[in-house]
Amino acid sequence: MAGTIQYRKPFSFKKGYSKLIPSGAVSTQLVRMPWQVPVQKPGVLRKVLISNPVGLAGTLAIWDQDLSNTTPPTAGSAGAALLPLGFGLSVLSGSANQTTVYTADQLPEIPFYSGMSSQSTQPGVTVAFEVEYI
Amino acid sequence: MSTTSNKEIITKINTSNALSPPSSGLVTRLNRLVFEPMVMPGQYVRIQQGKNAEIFQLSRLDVPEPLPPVRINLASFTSTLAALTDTGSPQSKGPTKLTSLDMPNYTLAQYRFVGLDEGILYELFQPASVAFMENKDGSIPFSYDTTMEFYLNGLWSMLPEAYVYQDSTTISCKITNMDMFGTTPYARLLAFGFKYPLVQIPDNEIRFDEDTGQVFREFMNPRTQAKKIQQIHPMTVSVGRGNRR
Repeated sequence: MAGTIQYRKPFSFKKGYSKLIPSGAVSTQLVRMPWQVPVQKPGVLRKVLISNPVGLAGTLAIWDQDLSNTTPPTAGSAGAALLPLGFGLSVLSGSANQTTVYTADQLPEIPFYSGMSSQSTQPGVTVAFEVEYI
Repeated sequence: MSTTSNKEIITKINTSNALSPPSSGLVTRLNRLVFEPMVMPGQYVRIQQGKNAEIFQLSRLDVPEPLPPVRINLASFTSTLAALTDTGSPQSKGPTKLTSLDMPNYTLAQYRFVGLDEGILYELFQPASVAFMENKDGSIPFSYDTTMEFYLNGLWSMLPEAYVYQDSTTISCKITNMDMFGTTPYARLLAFGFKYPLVQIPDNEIRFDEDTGQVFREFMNPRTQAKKIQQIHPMTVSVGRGNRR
């Protein structure tokens, strides 16, 4: 069925998070991966909702980095994101924000080992997302 | 059936070495695919704690009773579970005594456990300082992902199992957050199973054949007043390792 994930990976679990990205120029930690013992599970994005209150389209760049610890290796960067997700224009008239949704079948299964770090080309974007720890 | 003339080979049960203690995590014929009572009316059970063991019977006039799921939150809003640290020394909580799983006098409970909240590691202890399920490296934690996988697939025999006798063998549980990003006020453990109201068999009625490993019960026939010996097949369950080590 389009837009849903039928089966989780065995022995995995999912958690949901929400994060406001206040500035377009500063890296924001969406979530840290549990890379330390006794857990050591990478995460995969299974669903992303990007809510854009600004009247311009933009891109959300996500890469693999724990911004508060340099021990785990990093992959990608703000300029060379592992996962660039475009989001649409907001509706200027009226109060409704534009929300762009990416579901499991639209997201590549890229494992994040250290953390999900992000930058948005538009400030004030709220990202709500589901991570499956595999 | 043999009589007391067999006394030369049937010695009084010696719980320190005659019957070897069970391992900490029971994977026996008790762990059936379908979760059903392991002792039925009239059957015997041997409850072992460390070197000590006693034999009980589920009376023919009693029945095992289902224990509906009990939810225990091991964190709270005022005492949240800290996030997993970078240092490799997790800020765990507990072990906390799970007194809500205790039983009344002469009652044995059989529980199976499911981790209810995602991202929590649970470790069981019985008694409080002795890991209940462990390998050479130490305690083996379980979690939502490792228990729910079996629960949802109907493989209930693979769920962690523990026994509690009265309120003297309380289980304790330690929790650790698997999330490095935030604290949580919820770390819930689900326990369900059966309880068995038991009658204790006096030690002087139990005989053990050291050659064959068979267990007998010697009792007085209430009608004829004659002594009789009956072979019994007690199921051994562990309620903690106590002073075994």
